[in-house]
Amino acid sequence: MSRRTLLLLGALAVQFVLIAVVSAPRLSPRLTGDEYRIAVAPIDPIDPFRGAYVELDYGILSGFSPERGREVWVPIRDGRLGGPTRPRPEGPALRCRYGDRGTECGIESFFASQDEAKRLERVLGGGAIARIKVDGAGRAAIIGIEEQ
Amino acid sequence: MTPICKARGVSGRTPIGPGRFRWLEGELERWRAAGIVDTEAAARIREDYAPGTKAQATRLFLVLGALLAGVGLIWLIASNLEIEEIGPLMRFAGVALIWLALVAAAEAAGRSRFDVLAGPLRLLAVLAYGATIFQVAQSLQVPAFAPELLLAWAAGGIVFSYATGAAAALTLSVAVLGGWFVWGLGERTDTGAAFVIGLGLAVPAATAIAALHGEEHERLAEPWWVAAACFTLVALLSATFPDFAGSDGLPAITIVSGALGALTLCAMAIWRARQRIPEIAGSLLVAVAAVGLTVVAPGTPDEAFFGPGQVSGAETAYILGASAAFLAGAVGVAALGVRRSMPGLTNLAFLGVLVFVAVQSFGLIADILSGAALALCVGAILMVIGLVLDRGRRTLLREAAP
Repeated sequence: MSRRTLLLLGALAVQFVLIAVVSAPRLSPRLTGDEYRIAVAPIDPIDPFRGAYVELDYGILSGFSPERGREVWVPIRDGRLGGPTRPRPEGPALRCRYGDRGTECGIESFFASQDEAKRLERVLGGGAIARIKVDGAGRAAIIGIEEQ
Repeated sequence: MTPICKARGVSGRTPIGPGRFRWLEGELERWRAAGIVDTEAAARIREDYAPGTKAQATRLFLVLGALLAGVGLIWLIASNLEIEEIGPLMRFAGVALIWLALVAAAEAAGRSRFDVLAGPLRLLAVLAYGATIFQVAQSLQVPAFAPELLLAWAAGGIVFSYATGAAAALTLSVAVLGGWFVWGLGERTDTGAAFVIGLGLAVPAATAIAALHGEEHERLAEPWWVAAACFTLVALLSATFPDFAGSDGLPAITIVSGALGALTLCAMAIWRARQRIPEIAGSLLVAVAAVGLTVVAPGTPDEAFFGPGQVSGAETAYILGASAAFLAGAVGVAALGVRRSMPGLTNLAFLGVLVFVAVQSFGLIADILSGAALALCVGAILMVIGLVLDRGRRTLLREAAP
């Protein structure tokens, strides 16, 4: 095998690793996590690179305001998400980050086609249930949303 | 890194533009007359090059076509088409297959008589790699506006571009990296000073990376020179607004670690390429100017004291100083363009000056100088700089003369 081919294969391997790195936080809960059903309210914006999606508001009440970028834990209680805390609380909880848009847990967007996103916003406007999976490390992934 | 050879046509001759070919013919005639080369050698050198615009036009159309096709592919992913039979995994597999097929096609083209297709296909492959990342994010419902997707795209694109020596693909990857950096700055900080400091520190980093390439990889250094020039112009232009640059900056630890990273890269570049010291020194000056301006910027004007539309003495001094720093930066970028034979950089510098005059004609500087007076002043300053540089050049030639 020539040096050039080896370089190309090495580059492709790095590219696959990068794909694995960006997908791991959402892939792990899908494969290994427990499922929960959480109440949400959807709204309908657009991401320039990825198109239409439904933004999900879990109504996470801010218990405290840590520094931006700090890790916080959000407990799951009776089908709702509680206020962010530190350190990790007892029982099921999501590992989140306090960012620009408040507490971000990786389950704030549900991508769909333009028409489907609009339909979801209309149908679920009064309230919806998000089906999420959470792995042992508190990483969460959204599986689907349905009518309340 | 692989050695980069000059692109050669099917005939084995290197295609160059008619203007450059005329220059080469003139030089060969001069060298022949001076006895540097004989007639036979001059003819052999001339035969190694093929003049014409066809090759350049062909490459331009192919690159533009690849760019548009790639944007179309990402757009297609973004439209989240409803295809009931195809699940998320199959969608990912489909897009990844397109990406890998393009990589293979580019390699095959590079080894065939259709080698002109190799570069555009590699550019398209990097765009398809971006589409693959976005499809993965789509399939796994990664939250919207996640900047790490851009970083992964840029990093993967850069690695691929260096492995294959693809300049157009590297240009795109560096542009995506720049986009991620600016986005990340906005995400992690919400002050103008942080933006100015972040971009200012990125200038020596990009310059050092460009300098690290050495003469043999000059084509791959060009996107980094352009990135350094863009960061210079945007950072120093942003710093001319005192209320923007005067807000709270980045935390000291971030500035120190950013500065240390940039200085490490600069030290490596100086160690590897001493002839690039002037460019690296210039880039460090830009970083110092950007950080310094945010420190001395007077911040939000006190309208209750001065009244709306009135500019304090401190602000006037700051605006004039920051404007001088911007113009010096723009002149530096233009000079870099001349030094590196990159006319695009010189055009970029003049575009920056035009934007500066246009924006500041309506900004705070309008309270000091009218738009017309500003244009006259900037024009006069640039002409004086040109005359000083010309005088310096003549002095050097006189001193060098036997």
